[in-house]
Amino acid sequence: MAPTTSPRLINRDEPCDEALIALVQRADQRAFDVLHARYQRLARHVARAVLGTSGGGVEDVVQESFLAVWRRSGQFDPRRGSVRSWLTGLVRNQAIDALRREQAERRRRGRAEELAARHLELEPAFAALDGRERTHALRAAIESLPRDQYRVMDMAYYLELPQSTIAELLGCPLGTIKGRSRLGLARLRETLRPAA
Amino acid sequence: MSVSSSSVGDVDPGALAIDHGEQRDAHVIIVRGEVDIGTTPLLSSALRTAVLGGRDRVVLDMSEVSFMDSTGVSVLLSALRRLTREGRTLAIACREGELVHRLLAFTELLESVPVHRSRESAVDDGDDRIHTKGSVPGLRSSP
Repeated sequence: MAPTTSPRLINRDEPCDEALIALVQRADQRAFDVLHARYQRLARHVARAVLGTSGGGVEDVVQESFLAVWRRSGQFDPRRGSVRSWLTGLVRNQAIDALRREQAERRRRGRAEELAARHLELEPAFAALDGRERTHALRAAIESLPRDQYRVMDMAYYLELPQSTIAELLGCPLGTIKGRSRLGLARLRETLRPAA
Repeated sequence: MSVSSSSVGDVDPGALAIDHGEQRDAHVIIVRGEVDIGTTPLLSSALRTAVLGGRDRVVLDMSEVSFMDSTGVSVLLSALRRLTREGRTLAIACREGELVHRLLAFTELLESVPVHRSRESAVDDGDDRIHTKGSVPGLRSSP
């Protein structure tokens, strides 16, 4: 019988994980597809476990994780563990990153809404909406403003810049920015006021 | 550099034009005009192409950008996170002291992205860098 040669095979048709990774390192798309088919369910499960009940972004995390497998297959070191544990670690890290991004985005949106609610004195109307509705209502209202007012309100709420900085960035006198802000707020109040 | 182009708002003062192509080892995106809620999708699409293109270095030349709003900043941040996570680099070229540079400084992106005075320097990771907040008139350190 001929001696077994690398890549090592589990059987004639099913290369083991290490053999597949060795082929992926040589940019073998077919080996990557086999690895993907073998581990996509596990990857989804790990991503869902980290991202929690909302489960938002699971598919993105899985996609990014396999992209990382393709790009970073050269970093796999069999002395440090199996392909399965390396891949699981990659998915877990991608999911943790995604979770942090989502939390940061939520905090940023929360600050914009809080600021808007205070300026607009619309707390009851805002309170009646759930988080996502508030985000969309505020964003849509700001986007519907005339361009000059939109720019001032966008910079104030979403970049959290003070009026003096906005004036400097836009090359306008502070009085002009204050005026646009006043007009913008009046329009936002009108847009966001609940129907009588 | 081989270049492809796209643009929106040909007549509108808020027009945005984007060229992109390869220059030496970098994927280069040249942006001209205003980046705002109406035009950000074009920038987003160009950055997505660069991210998927797989080059280790992505250069965004914003020297001719006269305005950028929070949607543009958000798209830059998103591309930066993705590239950094993959061990790749986003470098920006812009005019020192003008809106893009000031906005990068005010939003503290200047701390995370190498910003250069010229596209050539950004492509080659050269020395013509804009380093500090000190070069932004009126910018004070956070309390």
